[in-house]
Amino acid sequence: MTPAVLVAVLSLGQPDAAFRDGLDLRADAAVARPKFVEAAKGYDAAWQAGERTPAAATNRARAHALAGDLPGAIAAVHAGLRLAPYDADLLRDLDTLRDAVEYPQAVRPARPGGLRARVSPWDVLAFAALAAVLAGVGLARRFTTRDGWAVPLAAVGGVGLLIAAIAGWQLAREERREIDKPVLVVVRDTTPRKGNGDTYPGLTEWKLPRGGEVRELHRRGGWVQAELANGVVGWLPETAVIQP
Amino acid sequence: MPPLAILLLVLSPAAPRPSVNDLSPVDRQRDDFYGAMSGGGKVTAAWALSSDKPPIGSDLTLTLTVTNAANPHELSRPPLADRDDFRKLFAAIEDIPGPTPPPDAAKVEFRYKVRPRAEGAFRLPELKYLYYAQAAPPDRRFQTAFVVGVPFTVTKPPVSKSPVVPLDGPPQFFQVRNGSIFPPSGKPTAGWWAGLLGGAAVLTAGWVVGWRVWYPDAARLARIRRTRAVRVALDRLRAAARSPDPTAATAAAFRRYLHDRFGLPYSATTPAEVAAGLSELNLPPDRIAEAEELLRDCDAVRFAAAGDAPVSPDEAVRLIEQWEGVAT
Repeated sequence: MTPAVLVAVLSLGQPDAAFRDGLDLRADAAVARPKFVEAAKGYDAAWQAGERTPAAATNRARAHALAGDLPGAIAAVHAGLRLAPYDADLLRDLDTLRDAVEYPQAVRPARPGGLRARVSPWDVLAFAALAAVLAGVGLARRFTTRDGWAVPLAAVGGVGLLIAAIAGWQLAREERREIDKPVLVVVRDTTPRKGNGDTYPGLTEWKLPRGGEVRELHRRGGWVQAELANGVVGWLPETAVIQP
Repeated sequence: MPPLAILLLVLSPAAPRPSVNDLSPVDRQRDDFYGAMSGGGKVTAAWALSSDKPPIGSDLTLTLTVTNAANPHELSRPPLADRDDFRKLFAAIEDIPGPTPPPDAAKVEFRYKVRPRAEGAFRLPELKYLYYAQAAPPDRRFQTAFVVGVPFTVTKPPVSKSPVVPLDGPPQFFQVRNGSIFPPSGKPTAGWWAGLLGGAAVLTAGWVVGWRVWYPDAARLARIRRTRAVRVALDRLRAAARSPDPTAATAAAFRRYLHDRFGLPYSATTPAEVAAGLSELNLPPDRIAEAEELLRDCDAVRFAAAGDAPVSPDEAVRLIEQWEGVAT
């Protein structure tokens, strides 16, 4: 365990304590909000130090949201989903946070889909283990007592292993797609432009709202080429986006 | 001035208004140039703040006024939100959109909503504002109008007398989520997969080897269960020992074995018919004799007076093992 992680683990109670203080004071938003700001900073530090779990990501996102930092909350959810894309709490929080973003029409991203949002790699491993047990028992009985059900059981196990292999391949494929086009979160209302400079005309008549999500394609000269949820590609200043 | 000259002056076409589109793309992309063209005089620019003593946390309107540009409708807004010196001073910088000025406007105003970061005395950063003077010598056509910084003081926030407002949000956001071990985060490494498949293969092989070592008789039986006919016959003979009439069951199981394994016609049921059928199949005579003797013993027990000892299914099992070449 590195010293940074050790420090983060030892101080893990602090952001939780600040969060709970904020909950106790929620009757007055002006008093509660600074507590959530403090909690968000603590969760950020722990996350940077390597304390990364779906629960930590959830609490981090909620602290940012209650502190009034909508883009930070959405970025924290995405950081957690990169770790556990199937996590139901994170997916639900992402939906809720997106409701707070004033998206223009057809630019709101779809709910994360695919196999990754439904199945954990550990689920696939557990399924493969069960299939391997069935195949192993079937083969063992086939070569020992030669029971009539041995071969069908081994066949069921083999099919299970094949399904597990296909699922693993699909998960890896979806993860690669996610890595190739990482999510960026817009921190202020920004007009996507046709080129990487302020002198280029705007791509749309509306601005991308604060908290909006785009997919990064390239970076050049302090600008990011990004794909919107409706497939339109434009350029945004690097200062206008954060990466989860 | 003579009347003719005045007439010519009035009738002569007006000089075209300079446009930023007359410049080359390289000139248009120059740093700190926002499209201002001079029609002859100097272009000037100035800051104005809506308040010089704003309280911390309040929003101010910052106005940049550009005057004497020959193409006011073509000017672009300086992106203050992308400048480090402004971001250091203000926590929030947002553009306030305004109408496009007419081509003959004397001045253009760009408004921004800004929120100071901290209390104290500050000065707005100086802005370098380039404009293009077409009438100047070619090497001095880009001229600079410095926008002089304006001092302002951010004061303490006013004492709030606003009513207490509870913090609102989705119910689930007001809960601390506790960590759980399952499902573990991340994903299984290649070692997990190799361990799973390798472990399953090793356990299966170990099971087979161990079973053969610990149960040699069972292993021998397993070898003769290679064919379905043998497997069925052995299962029936095992069941025959528990049946009400073990002898009849043994005879039936043995006959079924002969039918399935050697193709003996189903019409051959008596010991003599079975022996004849097996002879036609060119089986060794000693085997045929043994099979006929077993079936005769069965018939003898079945049709004899009560009290005779039944024929054991083990005798049929022994014959099958012998015939299948695995007898000890």
